[in-house]
Amino acid sequence: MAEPMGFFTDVSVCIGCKACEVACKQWNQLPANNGGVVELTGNSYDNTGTLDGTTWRHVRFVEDFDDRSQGRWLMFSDVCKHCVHAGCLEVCPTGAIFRTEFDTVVIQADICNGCRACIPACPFDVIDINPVNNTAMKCTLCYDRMQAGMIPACAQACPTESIKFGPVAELREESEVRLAELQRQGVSDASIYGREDMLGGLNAFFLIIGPPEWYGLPKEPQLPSSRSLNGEGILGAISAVVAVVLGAISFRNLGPLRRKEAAERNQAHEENQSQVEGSV
Amino acid sequence: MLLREVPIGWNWEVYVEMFAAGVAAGAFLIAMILELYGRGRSPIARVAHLITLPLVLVATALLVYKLERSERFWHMVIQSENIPLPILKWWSPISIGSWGLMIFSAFATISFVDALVSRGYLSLGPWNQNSTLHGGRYGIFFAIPSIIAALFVAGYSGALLSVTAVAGWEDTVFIAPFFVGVSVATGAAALLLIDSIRKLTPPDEVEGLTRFSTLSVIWQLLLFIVLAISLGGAISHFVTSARTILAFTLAIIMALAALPLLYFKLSTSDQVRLGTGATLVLISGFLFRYAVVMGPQHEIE
Repeated sequence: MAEPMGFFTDVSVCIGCKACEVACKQWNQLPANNGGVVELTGNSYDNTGTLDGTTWRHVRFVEDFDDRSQGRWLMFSDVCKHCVHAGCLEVCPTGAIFRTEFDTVVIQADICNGCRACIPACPFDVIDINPVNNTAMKCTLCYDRMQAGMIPACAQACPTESIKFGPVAELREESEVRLAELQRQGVSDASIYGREDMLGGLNAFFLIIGPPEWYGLPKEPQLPSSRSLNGEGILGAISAVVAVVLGAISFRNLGPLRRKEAAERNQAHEENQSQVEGSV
Repeated sequence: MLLREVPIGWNWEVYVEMFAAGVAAGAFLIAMILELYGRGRSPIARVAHLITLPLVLVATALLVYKLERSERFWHMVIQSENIPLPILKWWSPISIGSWGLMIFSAFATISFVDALVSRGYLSLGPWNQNSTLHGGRYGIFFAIPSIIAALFVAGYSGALLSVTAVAGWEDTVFIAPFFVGVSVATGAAALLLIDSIRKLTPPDEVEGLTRFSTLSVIWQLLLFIVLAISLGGAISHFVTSARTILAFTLAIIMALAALPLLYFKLSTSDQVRLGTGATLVLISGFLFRYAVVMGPQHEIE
């Protein structure tokens, strides 16, 4: 396996130019949203809205102006996190989602049958159905470009190097240096989102300013299995056992019927019923 | 938990499928319990054998229809790149659920054919009217794995919801137990409703079924209370629209209203009373499914 590769996206230097969004759409031949007709969301300069099946990079605009004397305008280029422990990969029943030799997570469109299981399994709300081929789709970290030794389109296009691409280990070192630098400069609420303690580490991780919720990021994302194996199955089984016990109690007065006896009794009952109906 | 921005898209096909599969599982469970009591050829059991397969087929058809690429439905159980090798992820509720439903379908098919054989509509060599599976010496061996398969189908869809990262669904581990309760209650109600129309079942079996129906409705309501308590403040994610509030309210009222209709001892007007009670339980179970599946999704949309 090749070295794990990933993104380090630094909010502190993003200028919200959306070159990453455009480069991603262009390289991956993704259609324009809403047929190219721009609908204003009313949310700052963000008229893309969310990551989905046709938007694999999304620049979110965060306006922090509660205290206007310290007002900030933050831009955050969101993307699939390519989790080391990926919820989408865990639940995918078809095997369409796989881990590449670069430790990234990719959906194979020719295998996906659009069951949608991966959509709610992703704690980061990254995946959606692509309306063109009706399969689940998301960022591939430009798997095709990486195989050709190229860097992903978004990182290539980013003019401020807010999106950095490279071996994850190197990016993590770089991010810690940058974090320390920012904190030295007084940006005390800067933090790294996606260290190794989060889902085994996010291969696309972020330097953010302010709480993760500002950026639509969950504080403690969880794997589907961490929930399913913690009680759900056991409680379901207990409920099932109770159902059987209730059945056993309810029918306890019934003794075994022999075949002949059953047939005779059924016949007698049917005759009785037909007589009743006839008299009515 | 942050609210999701991308709709999940599990709509009417999903809750109707869960309802149909639940009724099938509940009815089949009753037939298999009767089998254990040596009543595998009773009218109730035969009705259960006859309705389970069609309901499972409806549920499966809805699941296939719901896939964005329905023609690839077989990718759920076969490795599309290594045909015919199977694919199974036991830790993924949707993967193991597909297998569970398929295995349950196999049991349901055998019982359906056996019901036809026992009525003399079909004869397959040694498998004939005088030698059927149900009520015969091998019925009990069939019943035990069938009960496990039925109960699995009754509950797995609840686990499927709980393992998502969706506010409301992810906040409790009691959806699967509750869905087992709903399945059993609606399965019993379906058999009671059919019996109230056909009037073929001997009184002792109707009494047993009525008792089971009553107990399962009580069990279902208790599980609903536990589910609501386990959610705490997160229950707000389920009561997000007038539709889901109305659905929950009606479901509870109908289940409670059905209890006296099902519980009281049999009398001359039994069939209408039982039929009414069973209908209320079925509608109640459907509304519960609707509200649990759609509540958190209405919030997203």
